[in-house]
Amino acid sequence: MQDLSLHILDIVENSLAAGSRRVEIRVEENMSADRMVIEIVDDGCGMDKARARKALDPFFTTKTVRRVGLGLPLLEEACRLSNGELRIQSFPAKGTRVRATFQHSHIDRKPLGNIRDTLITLMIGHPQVDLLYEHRKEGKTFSLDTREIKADLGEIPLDAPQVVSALRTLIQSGLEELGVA
Amino acid sequence: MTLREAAEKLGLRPVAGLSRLTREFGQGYVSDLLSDVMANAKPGDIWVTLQIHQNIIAVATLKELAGIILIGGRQPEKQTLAKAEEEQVPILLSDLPAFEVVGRLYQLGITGRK
Amino acid sequence: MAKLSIEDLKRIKESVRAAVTLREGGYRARVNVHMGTCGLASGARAIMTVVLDEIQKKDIKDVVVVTSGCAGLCNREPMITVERMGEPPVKYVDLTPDKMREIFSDHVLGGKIVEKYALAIGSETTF
Repeated sequence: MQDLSLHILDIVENSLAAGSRRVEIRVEENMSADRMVIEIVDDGCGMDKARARKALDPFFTTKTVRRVGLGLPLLEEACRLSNGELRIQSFPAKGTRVRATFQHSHIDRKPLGNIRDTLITLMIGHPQVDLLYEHRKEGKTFSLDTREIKADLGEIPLDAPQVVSALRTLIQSGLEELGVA
Repeated sequence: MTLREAAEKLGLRPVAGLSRLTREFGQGYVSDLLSDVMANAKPGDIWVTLQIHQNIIAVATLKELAGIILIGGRQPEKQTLAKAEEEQVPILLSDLPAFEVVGRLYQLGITGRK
Repeated sequence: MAKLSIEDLKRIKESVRAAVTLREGGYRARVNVHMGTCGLASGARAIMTVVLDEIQKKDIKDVVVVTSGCAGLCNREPMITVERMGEPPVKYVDLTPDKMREIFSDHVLGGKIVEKYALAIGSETTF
């Protein structure tokens, strides 16, 4: 993928396909440790140890339409090419945690890219799922939880056009304040 | 031309998928970003790359590519060779840099656009 | 924690008259944007953004947008499926943002299938 925000969208789609009701995306940019970490935690159906090991095999997939599943292998490659690694922790009926680390300053480390559009896509595509986004950089944090947004909206659906527009602005300004947009 | 003919003309060494060397191809794609190949390569293209991880076999089968030319003297990883054999995806090796391989293929009539 | 401001909420609540959840019924059409790995690699997210922008610009209140995974046609991505209420679903392939705008105007809103971009016209409705 061109950038990490597309990888995130790809992996979260996995979480949703696994029946998650809540997905938490955490991004941490630790400049002093020269490390970037992206963690995606879900409460979907999870995988047993054997499956979790096979998840990084591009020829392993739960899809029925294709023999090839490249989402996790491509992310793993993005980590590897920037001196990082991908770790998967999963428990059946509990959920899965995907942790991708990168050397922040590595010349081949892909940029985060348009994370705003990734978040909006996820929120509109699956409004019934709660999504948390938390981004930490140089002592500052931007976080957004659709569970709280929905509580404030009451009966108004998350995917109403006026809400989408307001969310887009909220996310954009939050990311700008953090210095990542 | 066939993969075997290309191998002879460019001095490529076939190391996997030997049963498919009679395959004809007329177009190619060069990229080291797998998602880019997934998006832009066409079925039947020859793929020129420096990537050696087994993911290249998954992408080659997904996109129905004619085969893979690994450049710069790179060697495929063990798992890559195993998977290439399993899927019968031809891998041909070259010591030349990608630019040279593509240039020579182009001179032989292999293009990159429909 | 970032939240919608009181002003935002007030404005939204005032402009959304009926508290109807689109997904429960009464919608004109559903657009399904395929977001499998190949789709994303080929530009599916940008297609999604175009659909949301069109809904915004044209102030559409009765079109539902959903996303789904890989449909197995990785060489024809980005792909969408358009289904107008009571009409068969239509799969569109090899999309670009411009094609998406055309399909949104002509088919989603106007009811006219854009045959030159269509892959298949289904024979059953799904809602």
